[in-house]
Amino acid sequence: MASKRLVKELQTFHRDPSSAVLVLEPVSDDDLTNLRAVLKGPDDTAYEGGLFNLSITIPPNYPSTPPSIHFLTPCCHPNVNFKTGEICLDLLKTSWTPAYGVVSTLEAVQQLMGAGGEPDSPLNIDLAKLLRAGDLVGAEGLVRLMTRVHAMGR
Amino acid sequence: MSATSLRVLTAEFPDPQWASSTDTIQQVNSSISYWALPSPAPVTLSTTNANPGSDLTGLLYYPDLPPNDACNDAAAPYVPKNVTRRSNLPVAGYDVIAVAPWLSPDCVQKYLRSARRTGGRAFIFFLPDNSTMPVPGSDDPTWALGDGENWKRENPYPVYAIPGTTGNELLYQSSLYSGNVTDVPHGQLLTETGVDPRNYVRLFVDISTGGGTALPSLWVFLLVVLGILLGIIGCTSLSMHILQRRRRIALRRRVATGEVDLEALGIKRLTVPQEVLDKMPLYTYGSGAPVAHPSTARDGAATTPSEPTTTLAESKLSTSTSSRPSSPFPNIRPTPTLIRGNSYHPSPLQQPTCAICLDDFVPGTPDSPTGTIVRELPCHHIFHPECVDAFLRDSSSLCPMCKKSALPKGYCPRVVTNAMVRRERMMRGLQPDAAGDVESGATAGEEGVQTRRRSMMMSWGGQRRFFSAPSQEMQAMDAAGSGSTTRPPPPAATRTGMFGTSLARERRSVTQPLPTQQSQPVQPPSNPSRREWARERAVAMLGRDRAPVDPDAEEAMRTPRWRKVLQGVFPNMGGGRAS
Repeated sequence: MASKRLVKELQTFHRDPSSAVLVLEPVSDDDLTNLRAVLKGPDDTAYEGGLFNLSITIPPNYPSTPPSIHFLTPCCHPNVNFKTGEICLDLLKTSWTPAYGVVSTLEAVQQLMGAGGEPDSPLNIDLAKLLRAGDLVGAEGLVRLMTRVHAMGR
Repeated sequence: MSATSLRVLTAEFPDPQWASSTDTIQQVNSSISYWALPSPAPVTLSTTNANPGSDLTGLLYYPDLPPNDACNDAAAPYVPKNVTRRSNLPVAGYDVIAVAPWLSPDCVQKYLRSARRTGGRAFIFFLPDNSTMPVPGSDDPTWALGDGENWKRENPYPVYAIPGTTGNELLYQSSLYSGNVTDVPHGQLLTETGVDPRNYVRLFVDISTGGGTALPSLWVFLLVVLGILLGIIGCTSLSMHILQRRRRIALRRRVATGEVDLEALGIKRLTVPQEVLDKMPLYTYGSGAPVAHPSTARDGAATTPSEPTTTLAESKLSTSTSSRPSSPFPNIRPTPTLIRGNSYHPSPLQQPTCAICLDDFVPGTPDSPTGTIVRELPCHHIFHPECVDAFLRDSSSLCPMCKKSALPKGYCPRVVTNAMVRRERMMRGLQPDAAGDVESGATAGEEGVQTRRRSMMMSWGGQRRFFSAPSQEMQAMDAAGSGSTTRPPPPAATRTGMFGTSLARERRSVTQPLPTQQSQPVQPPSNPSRREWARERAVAMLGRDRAPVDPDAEEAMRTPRWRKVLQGVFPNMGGGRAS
């Protein structure tokens, strides 16, 4: 069921691409459970212009359980682990329902980037500290720099 | 248990028959009487009835054998004529300890029997070899009596062994101290120093059995303190358990009456048991023909009223229910008045796709019901039974589309844990107004409950969690929810907006759906606009209420073991933890 639904999702994505997700494809043709995606940094944010690679692992009982999504490109965000790429998003853990799909989940990740995150449950402590101290300019500058260094021009 | 030392001294005591107090054994001045501390400690042959820590004491005597017994002759070289016998001691009132030579097994058995009869408190044997060498250990064949150690069990006193010379000396001294006060050594002196001439002066034996468990006072004190502490902890734990048990029962009752929705509040991840799943209506998509449970299916149909449409299907349906938008023909679109105010439910034909496997349902006709068999949840969302059953049974009890519980009202899980009680109390503590509403508002409508639930979720999430949706959208939803309690929450199927959709438009979409939306569900599957609509719908749902993964498992995973133990003992503790 997982692969059947994944094929459908991928077909839908190819027919009807999303503005947030530029690429969504299996890493290898014979294994649908490992996907690669390229996410566009949301416009009008410090991530604008950045292209973020993500790896998606589909569990065997998908869609009953959520896919696990990691950033491959370092993403400077309070709720993303800068080193491992782990994302703290309840949709990926607690509030998953089978009605979501891979593409809509990726779009939610993009919205997480655009929304600025929640510095009270941080995975990136340095950035969260800046945000909690109220240094929005500094935080945005840091994000812009990191996006330029890691997510642009590759 | 085993003897560590043997002490012999001379004691004088009154006859209990005429003395008022019997327990007045006094040591005779050791300078004018016999006393000894034989150097090799006695070997312990049997420990029956020997209490560790308390010395065995008693007056020494020689247990008599029957007058004509052959053993008397064998013992004669070792036993003086006027040795202290049982008859030389008071009949009662004092413990006595027997002493005898270890002759043949037969004689030893007779001695043991005699001591048993005369109430010996212990028995001291010595080897008849007149040697000063220490006696062999207790497992030596010397001490075998040929009855398989039975004698150690059947004699109710401990048995010790001492070297031959010591034994001989004891019996000799015993013979000196067997008569009246005036007859014993220094007897005259004793009477002059104030010993009552009617008293007994006899040998007294003190066998020390070792102080293995004789506790020093400090340890006793510590033990007492420890005991008190344990007692306090036990009492506290007990009272906490009782209190917690009461709270569990109360929570169970409130769940049963529907005041508390465990899963929506994030207190417990529930799943739907198979028997509840079996009761959910199952019918053929498009025809409305019930497959399993006619009554519930018709009930579901009756809640989706629409203007009667004159189709072949309608005329063949039952006449009792007014109608159901069950046109078998995809190109006949439902009338716009289908959705009315707060009684909106998405009708089957508005859900052309199973949200779990993304396959389209195939409509059947009443005449030839070859359509897809669908399962309808209490929130009127439909799925393939094979898709939704597995999800509800294994993952969550919430509808994948609208996150309304698929469990019957008042369903309570079999086990209500302390952690659930704690989270529920915490939720009430966070939102006292809402909790009050919930407790008093049994008559409140469905919408009110929904609103309160959302606001509670908001406050909780705001404290601890992170939202998946942009905050503006959530705020808009919150404002919409709490602003007008009569307005139902916008159902997912009709919410047109992506994020940032204006509230007004959202409302309009609820009360008066756009005609295009109504027609879209019945478009052929290849139509791209329908997919666009489905995708938008899915995206719009990203901002909806969160359904927590089982908080019990999550908490169990995050709680260190010592904390679990602590919570096992003191179930009320740890209430300050948010999750």
